[in-house]
Amino acid sequence: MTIDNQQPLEDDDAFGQELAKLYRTALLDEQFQQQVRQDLQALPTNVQADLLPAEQVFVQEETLSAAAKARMLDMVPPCRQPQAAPVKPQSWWRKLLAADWASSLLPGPAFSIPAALMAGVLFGVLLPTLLPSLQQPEYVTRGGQVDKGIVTHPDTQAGEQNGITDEVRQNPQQWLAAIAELLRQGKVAQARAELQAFELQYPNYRP
Amino acid sequence: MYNDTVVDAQYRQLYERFCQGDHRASIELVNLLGDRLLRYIRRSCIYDSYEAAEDCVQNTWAKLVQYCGKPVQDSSFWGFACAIAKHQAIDDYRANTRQKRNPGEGMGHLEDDDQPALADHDADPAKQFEALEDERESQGRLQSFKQAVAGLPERQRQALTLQLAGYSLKAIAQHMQEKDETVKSHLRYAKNKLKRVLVEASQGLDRVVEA
Repeated sequence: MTIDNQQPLEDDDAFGQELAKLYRTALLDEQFQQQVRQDLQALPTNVQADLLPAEQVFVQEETLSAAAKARMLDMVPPCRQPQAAPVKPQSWWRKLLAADWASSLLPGPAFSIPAALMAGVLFGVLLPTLLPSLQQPEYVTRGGQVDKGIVTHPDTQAGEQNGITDEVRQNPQQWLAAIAELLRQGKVAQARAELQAFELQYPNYRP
Repeated sequence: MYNDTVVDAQYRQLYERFCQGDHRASIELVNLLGDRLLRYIRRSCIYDSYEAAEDCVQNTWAKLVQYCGKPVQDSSFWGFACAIAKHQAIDDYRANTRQKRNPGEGMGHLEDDDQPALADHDADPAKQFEALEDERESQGRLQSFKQAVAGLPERQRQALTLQLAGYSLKAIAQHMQEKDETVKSHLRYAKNKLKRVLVEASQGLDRVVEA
């Protein structure tokens, strides 16, 4: 297609519409905006003032309002938004003094339930069975002298003072007879102490 | 007006500092980028009101804030910000159009500009190719149009700009302080040149496609 520049073409509507569309699209390019701005600014100043509002923006240097700038400055990047401070582990004594100390100190049910069962077995079955066999025999020294290396019963010491020997205490009948002798002699307090010692030594004694 | 490379490096640096929490950088960036974005949005003639354009700038800024920490892929930070602003403006325009059910006059270019033409023809490679060709042709025509307008003499360009902005012949003559016949002549010569350039651009593209 050959177009002669000296013979202008007719201004057809379709081409005019296409130009208008291209112009609008080109306005999305900042360089093109600058060119339009320069052309409009080249117009006389009094004419510039008469331009429509859409073209006024090209001859004026508009700026954002202070309120808009303030709103933009209020927007904080996601990385700078306030986050929960890292929790520092509390010391044990602080936990103990805290109002809800029990909730942090008590173990969870996964531990506490088996532990409670084990404790029940220990205190209810094993200890009553084992403890009697673990009782140590009581040793009493002669002559009222207490051997510090040997555990002695206080009542037994008292018994020596009451004239009841260790040999007598080995035989319950003799011990009871010695206690009866003390009662006869009027030594009620000594007899009562010896009787308590006898009951400890022979709890279920039946003559 | 803007030395692109230097200014873009400055934007990028300020943006990085802003994302790291530098308040001073955010003030500087808002002052520099905010005003420029506002003028860009206003001059793209998408919004009629200053307030709507200001809202668009704020929404663009909000998206930039959300983008903090991610790498800016575009070679130009300003181009990146512009693209966000443009998409925001197009979204606003579409939302507004849906709300009013009365599309604004002369804004059809926005519908075309951001339409992914391939979306409707995903399944058909031939149609995809056609859509790609259409897209390339329209981009080529736009580029040719911009170059041709830039190459026009100043008076012709002024007359054409005013006419494309919607002024009547009489108003253009009045604004340019010229006779009607002179303005007509300016317009005729300008349009002839544009038509020639656009036809040549189409023919050039056709040759490329044929080759």
